[in-house]
Amino acid sequence: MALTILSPLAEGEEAEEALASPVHDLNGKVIGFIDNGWWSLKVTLRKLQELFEQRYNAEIIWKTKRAATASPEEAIQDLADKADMVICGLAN
Amino acid sequence: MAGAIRSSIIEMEDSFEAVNDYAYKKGWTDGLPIVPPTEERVAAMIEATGLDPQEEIVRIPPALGKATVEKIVVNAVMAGCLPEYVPVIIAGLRAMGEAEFNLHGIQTTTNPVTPASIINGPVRKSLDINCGPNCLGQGWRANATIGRAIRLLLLNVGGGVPGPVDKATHGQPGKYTLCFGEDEEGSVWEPLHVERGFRPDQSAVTVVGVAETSHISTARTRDAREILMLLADNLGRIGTNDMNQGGGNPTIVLASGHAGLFQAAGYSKTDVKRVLYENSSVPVDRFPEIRVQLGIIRVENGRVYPAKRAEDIILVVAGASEPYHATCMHTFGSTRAQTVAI
Repeated sequence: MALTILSPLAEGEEAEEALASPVHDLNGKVIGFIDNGWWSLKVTLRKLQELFEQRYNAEIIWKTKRAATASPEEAIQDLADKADMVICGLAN
Repeated sequence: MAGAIRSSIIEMEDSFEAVNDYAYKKGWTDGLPIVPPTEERVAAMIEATGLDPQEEIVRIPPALGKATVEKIVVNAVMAGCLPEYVPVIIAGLRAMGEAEFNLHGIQTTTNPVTPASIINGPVRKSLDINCGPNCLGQGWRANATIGRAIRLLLLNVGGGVPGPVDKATHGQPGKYTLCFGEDEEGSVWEPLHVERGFRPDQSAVTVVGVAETSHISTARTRDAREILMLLADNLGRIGTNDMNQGGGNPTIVLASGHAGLFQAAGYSKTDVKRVLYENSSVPVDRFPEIRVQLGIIRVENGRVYPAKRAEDIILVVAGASEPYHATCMHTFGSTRAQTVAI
């Protein structure tokens, strides 16, 4: 004899988010960093900053937030307004 | 019932074992067996709530899955809930959906944090929610299954799969279930929900992002000041996220006997919070230097406190009446407690 059960998983339409256009050339670009406060990321971002500034004459906007929290809306908006691309720190 | 059921339907052999084998394989459970969420059980529970099954209550991070009434009920059936528990679960989810609760962080962190649901108001009695002896332990269907349903929803709708998404290093037993009521009748203090802006005749749930439940023995003394110092010592333990982040609402669960004893000694609820705050700070030089350098720790005049302000400490009266034991619920630190009416 058969039994039917219902799935407990979320269902429904996927959110349609448009992907940002890829950046093909870093020269002279404004690059945002979202630093999640972990030391390991700081080390990585400092190296990347050096690379982007020296090799590509890029401008860095560095935003630091508290670990395990969302970035403040103002910080996200500022990056959206000014940066060509953003590198976001996740986890640790 | 305004809308039809829309969940995916799975057909299988009609046996408890087959359903549970399937649920385990699919990762739907918390590790314990589930009550099979049959169409009949789900439809009956939705009918009992009187709600539209397709009403979206909240999106649960990190997957941002839609917690519709129907999905809440499917998970509530699996958890073993009674239909009348559903409004409590819905209120708890709404509270967790507030941005300041930081559910995304709670769902994905390495910290052992889990939401604790503290119930106030008349619903405690009508649903038989344990507010008394062993209220954080086993034995009460409402406490056990409301908390469990919330955990299943965080897993199945929020995508909080242990390992790949829920990155908890160890987790904690409270991740199975953590729900209790306040002993309003035994307390000399105003209830938590009234302190947070609700009427005494309203029912409400307060969610707190709890990283651990830490026992404090206060037995063998009836001296209010001595007991306060024991509580403050635990509150100011330097390894906790309350001390390392300082942005949470550390919560102390006291017996009604404690509240009475404090009142008799001239301490109001506000006084107790103030004394705890003043006596729980620790010199900053006891903390790892790197945390200070990175600005993670909030330092005030060379000392570190478990909360930003004394009023951020939550006091709840629950459990047996004798003032022998207290429980400090240290929090995730980056989370603010939220209260929503049921």
